[in-house]
Amino acid sequence: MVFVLADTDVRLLAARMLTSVVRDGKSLSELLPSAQLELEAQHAALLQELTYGVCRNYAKLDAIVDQLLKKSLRNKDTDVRMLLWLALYEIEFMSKPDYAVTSSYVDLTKKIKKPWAKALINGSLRQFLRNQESLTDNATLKNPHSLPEWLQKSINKDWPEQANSVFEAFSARAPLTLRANTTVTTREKICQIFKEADIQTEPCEHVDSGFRVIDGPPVTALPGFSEGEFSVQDQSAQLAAFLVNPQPGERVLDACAAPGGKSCHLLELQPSIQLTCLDNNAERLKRVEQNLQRLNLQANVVTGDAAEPGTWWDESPFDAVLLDAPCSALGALRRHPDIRLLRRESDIKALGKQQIGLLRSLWPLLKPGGRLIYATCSVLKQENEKCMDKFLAETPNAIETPIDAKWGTAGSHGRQILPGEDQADGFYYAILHKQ
Amino acid sequence: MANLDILIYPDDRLRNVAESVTNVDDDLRALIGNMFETMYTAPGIGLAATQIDVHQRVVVVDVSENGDQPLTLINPEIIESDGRIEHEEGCLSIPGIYESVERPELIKFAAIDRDGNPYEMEADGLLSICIQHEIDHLNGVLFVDHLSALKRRRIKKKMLKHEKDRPA
Repeated sequence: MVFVLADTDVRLLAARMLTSVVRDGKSLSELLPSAQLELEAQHAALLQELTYGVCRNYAKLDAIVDQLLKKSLRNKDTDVRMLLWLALYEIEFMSKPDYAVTSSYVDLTKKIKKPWAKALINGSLRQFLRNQESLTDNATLKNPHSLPEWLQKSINKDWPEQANSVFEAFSARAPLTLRANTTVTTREKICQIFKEADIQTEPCEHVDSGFRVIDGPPVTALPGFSEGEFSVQDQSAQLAAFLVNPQPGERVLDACAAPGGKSCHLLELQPSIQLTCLDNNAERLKRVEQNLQRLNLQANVVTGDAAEPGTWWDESPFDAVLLDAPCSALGALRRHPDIRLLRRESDIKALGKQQIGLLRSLWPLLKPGGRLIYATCSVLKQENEKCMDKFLAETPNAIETPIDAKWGTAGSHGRQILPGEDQADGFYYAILHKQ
Repeated sequence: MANLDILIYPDDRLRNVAESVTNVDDDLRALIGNMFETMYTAPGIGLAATQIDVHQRVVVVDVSENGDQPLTLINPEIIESDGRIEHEEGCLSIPGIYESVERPELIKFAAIDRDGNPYEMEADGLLSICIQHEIDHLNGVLFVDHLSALKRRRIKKKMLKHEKDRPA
């Protein structure tokens, strides 16, 4: 007999993966790709639907679980809680037959070696099925957007008028947005080729290189992907290279380069620049090299810590620095629903320290007259304009150049794109000049 | 050890009913070693001697994730069974075909191990399904025999068509 992967095995995989997210703070983007490689397409898709879907709705699922359990589960039984979340998700959101789902998850208690949980899962799910509507309504009422409380508070505080549309954008499905490699083709040519293959597209509003695929196959199966004619990049992220506006022969630093989307875009716009792609994660830097190779571009790829230029910098100054700073990534929450579970309120303060630290350590690397483009995919003011306020106040030779654009909203400094605006991710940009 | 050729459906030799083993000796242990190697290489989770054209009642299985729980069943007999379970099955002798089969969920079986010692064991889940699937082989029965005649005919046709494409 040969091993045939059944839906039950995919469910077990999903439960293990979610346990790593909730208990160990691992991200789905770390866990999912390698697991999916070994699966057939249909099981890979199911695994993604289960893990993403549960994260997107975790607060609601957990509010239902709270109503079902007499006492809450211990931390070491996170896997049992994940089985409950998954089963509820399948019944409530995927409309799977409840009898089959229940028996499958009851069986999985054996696979996770917790047979004592059999009765608990069986009882909870049966109780849920008896009162499905009222239990779900209570949970929705309690947390309509399935977001952690601190995050709702922060968004309400920073964006009181736009908060609701931000919350809705957090839960929406993100479009597949591509960037044409304008060194070899144009957006219009690619869209024409796609059209002939019956793949519908629409152009991005604010970048000439960008377009969205409305309904199509997985990205690697799109015509021209392996030939390097386009890359995957959200419209907001495509703005970065245009704002850097690299000129022929300039020395440019992409300070947090991995996975290399913005680096490649800089080279596509101006192939003659001397670009340094820096990142402190050697593993993720490999992706930068792969992307450069696929697009046939040249750059100096360096493993090093942007906060400590002394360890890698050759003392020749840069004309431009792109600091796409480590951030909460809340602007891209719709693409990474596990952020809901991974991010803590205390992270924001720590990230703020890191962001200002990077600005301080990279500023001396700029030539007088040089420019630094500060970017985050966050929507919190603390990571964005407040960070700029602080840096500008303490750095007399730093002057902000206001960005004149049709996208986003100007704040005290820089411009903020809120998630969902023109179907784009939330992003923040500010440009600083060195006198 | 050697990696052995597996008979492919529809081959008449898969219909032979295997003879009971009378003597557990070094020759039999060598056969068992080769069967495990053939099964792990395939890769499979169970193999009956019938499938390598040896018509003795010998089965090897390993349903563990890491392939570190080998189990040998000589002259296996199911003595009790209970419940029903439906599971998609596939077979090294019927490559590329996967179909849902309904079988008893829990079994208790008796067999002899590779040292010649008789034992009894209970099995559920995948192990139960796999053991039942392999014991079927010893009786000349394939998992497709549990399907409707229509489905079986379609599978047979498909297998005969692919036979031409396979290297001899």
